[in-house]
Amino acid sequence: MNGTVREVDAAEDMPLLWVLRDVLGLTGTKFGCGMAQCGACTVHLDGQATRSCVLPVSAVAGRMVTTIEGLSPDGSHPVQKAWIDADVVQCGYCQPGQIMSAAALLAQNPNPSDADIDAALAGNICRCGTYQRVREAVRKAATQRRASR
Amino acid sequence: MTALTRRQLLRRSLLSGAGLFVAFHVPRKARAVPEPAAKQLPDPNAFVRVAPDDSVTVLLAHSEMGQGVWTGLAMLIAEELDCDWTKVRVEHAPSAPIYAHPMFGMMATGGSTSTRAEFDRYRQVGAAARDMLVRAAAAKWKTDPKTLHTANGFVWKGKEKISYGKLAEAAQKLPPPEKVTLKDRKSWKLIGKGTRRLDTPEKITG
Repeated sequence: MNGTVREVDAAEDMPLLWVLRDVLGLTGTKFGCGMAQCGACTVHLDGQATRSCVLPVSAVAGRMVTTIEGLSPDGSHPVQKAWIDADVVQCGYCQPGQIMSAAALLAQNPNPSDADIDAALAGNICRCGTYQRVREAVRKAATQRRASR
Repeated sequence: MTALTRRQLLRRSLLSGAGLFVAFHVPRKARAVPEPAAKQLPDPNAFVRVAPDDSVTVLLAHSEMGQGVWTGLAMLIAEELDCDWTKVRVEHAPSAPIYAHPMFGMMATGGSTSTRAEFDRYRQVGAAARDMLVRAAAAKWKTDPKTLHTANGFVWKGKEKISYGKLAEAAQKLPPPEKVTLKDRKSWKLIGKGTRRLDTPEKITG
């Protein structure tokens, strides 16, 4: 869990999201729909963007989970910096999920096309409609990430 | 005995059927607080805090739901206060009658009214706080406040300057002014200009 081994006492079918929020107190990951339809609960499971609201905690034993809290200690991940630059956030509720999906995309595809970005983020719904700026920020983050390598 | 978890509390609250429901539209005649006399200025100490480290904390009674009030309303105070915008922070105001929505008479957010309703009050708060800081500086320099001016978080006397943070404690002890003159819109430096949102850092780190 975010780089450390965590043991929890929870029912094996408890969704990972509940464990994160209610057992471990990591409330950065949001509950949206509870049925993997909105993307607000997105975390990384072994580097892959995964919906934590439908994933039983027993399925993540021994695997690497990264949440928004573990993405960077201080909001300095290239995706988070690009989010500030592009002034993406409105109400903010879906944004941790958007950011986790974007970060997983860039880790696997450092130079995504707009179609790649749309495909990777299609499962993250934003009621404020920040999609244009989300895409702009992912492009910025990709550019910045490549420049820093 | 075990501690009540949030989830248990939610379940119990739902089961009990009791809840708090606040009607959004309040008849104007049924105001929760009496309307203050028109000429009385709001107490700036309730709305803005200048700290010794020069940070400026604005207290807002309006909910930030993505519409940008936590930036826009802070800009109203910062404009008249002449403070350093990069040092402005925002906190949610506690529950108290002084934070009642000027149009609704209760603490509420909605109907695209936040900026409209607070446009005068928040600027008056900034101007009043600025006036107190200038008077504190005048007392320190033993001079007439009229000879001083303010810019970017400092009170200036010719080429000498004192930061707002260094004046904050003395200024807080002074009585708020009875009237203030707001800036002419031509001299606005923040209002009407694009700026980054103040609520982004918290929202991108969860």
